[in-house]
Amino acid sequence: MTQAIEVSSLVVEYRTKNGQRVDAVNDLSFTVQPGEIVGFLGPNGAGKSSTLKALMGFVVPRSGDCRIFGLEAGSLQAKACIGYLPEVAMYYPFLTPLETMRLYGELQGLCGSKLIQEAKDLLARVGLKDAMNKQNRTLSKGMLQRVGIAQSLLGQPALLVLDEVTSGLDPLGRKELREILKEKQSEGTTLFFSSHELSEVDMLCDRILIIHKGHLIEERGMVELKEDLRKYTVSYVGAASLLGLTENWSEDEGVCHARFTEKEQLVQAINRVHIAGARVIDVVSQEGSLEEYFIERIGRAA
Amino acid sequence: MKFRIYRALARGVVLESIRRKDLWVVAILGFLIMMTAGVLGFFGIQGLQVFVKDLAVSVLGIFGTIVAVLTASRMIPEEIKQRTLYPLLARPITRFDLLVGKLIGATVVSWIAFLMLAALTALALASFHVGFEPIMLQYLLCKMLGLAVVCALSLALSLYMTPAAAATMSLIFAFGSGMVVHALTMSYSAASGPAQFAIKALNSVLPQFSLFDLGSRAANLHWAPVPLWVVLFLLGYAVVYSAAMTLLAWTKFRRQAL
Amino acid sequence: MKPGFWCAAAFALVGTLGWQSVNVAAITNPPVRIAGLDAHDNSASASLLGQFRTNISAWLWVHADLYLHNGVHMRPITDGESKAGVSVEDAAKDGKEKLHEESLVTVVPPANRDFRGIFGDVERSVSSWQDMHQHAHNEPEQCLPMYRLMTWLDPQFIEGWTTGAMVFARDRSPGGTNRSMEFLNEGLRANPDSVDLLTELGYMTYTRKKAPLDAIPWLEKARDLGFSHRDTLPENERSALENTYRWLALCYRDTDQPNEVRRVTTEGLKVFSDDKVLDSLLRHAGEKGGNGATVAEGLRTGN
Repeated sequence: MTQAIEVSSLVVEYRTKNGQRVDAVNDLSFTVQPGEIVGFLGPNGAGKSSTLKALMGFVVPRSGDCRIFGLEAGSLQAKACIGYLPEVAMYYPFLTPLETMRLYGELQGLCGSKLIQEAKDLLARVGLKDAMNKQNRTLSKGMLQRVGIAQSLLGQPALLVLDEVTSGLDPLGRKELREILKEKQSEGTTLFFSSHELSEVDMLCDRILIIHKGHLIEERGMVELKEDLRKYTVSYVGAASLLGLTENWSEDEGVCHARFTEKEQLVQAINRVHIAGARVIDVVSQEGSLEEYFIERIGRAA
Repeated sequence: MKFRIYRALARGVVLESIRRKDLWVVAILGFLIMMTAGVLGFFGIQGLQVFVKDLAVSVLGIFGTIVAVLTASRMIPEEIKQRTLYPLLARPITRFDLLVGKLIGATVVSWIAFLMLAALTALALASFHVGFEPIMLQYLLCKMLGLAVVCALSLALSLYMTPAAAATMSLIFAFGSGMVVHALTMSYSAASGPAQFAIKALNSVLPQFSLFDLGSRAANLHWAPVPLWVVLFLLGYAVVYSAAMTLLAWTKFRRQAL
Repeated sequence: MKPGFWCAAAFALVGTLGWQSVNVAAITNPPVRIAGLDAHDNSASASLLGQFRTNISAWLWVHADLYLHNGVHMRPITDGESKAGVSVEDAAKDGKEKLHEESLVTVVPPANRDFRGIFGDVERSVSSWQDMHQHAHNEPEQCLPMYRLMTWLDPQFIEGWTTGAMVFARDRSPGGTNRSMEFLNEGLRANPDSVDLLTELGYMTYTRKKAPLDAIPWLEKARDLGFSHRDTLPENERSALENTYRWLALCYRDTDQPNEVRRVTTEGLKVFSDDKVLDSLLRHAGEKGGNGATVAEGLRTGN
């Protein structure tokens, strides 16, 4: 099956002001399946934007290969399949959102009343129905971000490449965006986005890729990752030996608390408590912190 | 399809320029300069005709060129700086399409400014009881062709140097190329063989903006309109030179990291 | 020794030389200066502004030439062209030659001297170019705005005033004469010690208004100024002084004052010993009485 995105051994190089070469992306390889939502994470300067620029053809890689649905990244056919949201939302200040959408739609090969209707529908969908005829320079940062989201959805692209997608949005805006993106996924659209909002990544993504100093350091499915990060706590009263199951044990006013990272260990612990005649008071399953995981992973890679 | 792309890009440029109100400032300034000629009115109408026409074509030429240079030289660098280029190039258009569309937009903006100023100038001339002669129409047409070449040159230079440097170089070419060409013609007969070859080469490469300027014919008395073949030659020269400048711009832009 | 030391030494040396040259009389400067002009010596911005005004008025002077040639750009012939036998574009003798030089050729060359092929043909078609051999000139009235502008910008530009006045005076009606004299008077207010302007006013009063008695005060003032600074007058003022003596002598002759004619012509011949007009006037004044002829002979031979 043709991958939505296929990056192999990508190297993106920049020249600094004093002529030195710096590798922003170094031997990066990953794939994205059609219909997936993949989060692309990394600290500032990790190479996320450079990777996205290579996918869009804004930079020419020094070596390696980027393909969009089997087509060379940056080619007209590849770009025809992509809806792109740049990192910093800047649009022509003296055009209105509707004129902006019309401009981008015409460049995409759309035209006429169909384009205008689609533009209006998308702007209404992102909450800009009342602002579609105001000049962009009068809009707030969040509203401009919504314009950006709307323009990336023009023409119903098969792949959405979104750089810092929730930047500038209020919580309501983020919720609306999540709904839009989930809707798009249900229609079969592939999403590939970078974000610093790990909560959004947590809620949306099927898979995450973590990049640091131009290298891919982690690639995990979200289900599997959440499972790994989950923590279990059993609270009981009485005497029971949990030796060998956990060392994370405490007592507080006669109540014992034992913490486990594996579900198997939890089940064995509960059995031992019952066998020992102790009484289980509470069993808690707690999701792990993606942020802590991210920080720990970056720290390990440094 | 290409036509739609160029039209969309050009429309964006024109809308932005008109709403920025830069063109209005230029038009008003030029009109005010023309009207100051009125203070010389006590000389009587006879003496003033050539002077006001001369002033008119000078104002039109200078302001038209300045608008063209400033519009075209800032176009791509500002798009890169303000990051408005990314959503454009994310569309299925080539970088060459982008350059052509932007060039057409800059040219149209220059023409709008020029024609606005020409309309106000015609009013000013009418107030001095100076008629608008057919040769003035030829002047306007040829000047517009020249402005297209100026835009192409400025756009190309803006990709190789900073916008300020590109604007400066473009203005030097636009206002100085005539002097350089005349110096070349003056020195040709006394030059050695290799020097003559170099002079010919330089003459063929230099943009010949003075060819598009019918101002002195339009301002002075009893000059006949130019023949059709001259206008067609200028059209061809404008197309060829602008295409060459666009290709030069594309050579730098096509692999430029954004 | 460090470069800074040598720079300071160089400045000190130049400064010393400059200090010493303060009292050296300038040979080519006009004999008197308008008070405001002294600002140029002390203020850099005033000096720059003065330079700008002077350059613009000089450009306008050249531009006036362009109007006379109906927009055809002309330039002086080069030595190389002269040696190669290129002929100048002589003006027809239409009475306007005095307004400008005529050792000129067209800036855009004719086809037989143009290597540019079709580019040259196009330029000759689009610019105001024509074969200027034996050309005539446009009416100089079209240049009046130029003269007006250049004298506004640079009121000390005497030739602007005098040439403009001459153009006004082509209208031989009383209106034209009055406009010409108003223009000259305006110039005189800006340049009260100009021999040329005073002489032109005297000339206009004498020839157009036919009032030699009224002309005499102008001419006497010009004479007095010119004679007292005769050794330091610039070229155009010196040339005007010669005319001053001539017109003054004629005025005294027409008002039947032979003694004054002799006084004026005698003094004039001391400055312009080869002037045949003054010589003739002195001789005629001598015929009416006195030793005019002897005085004239004496002045010529130096006895």
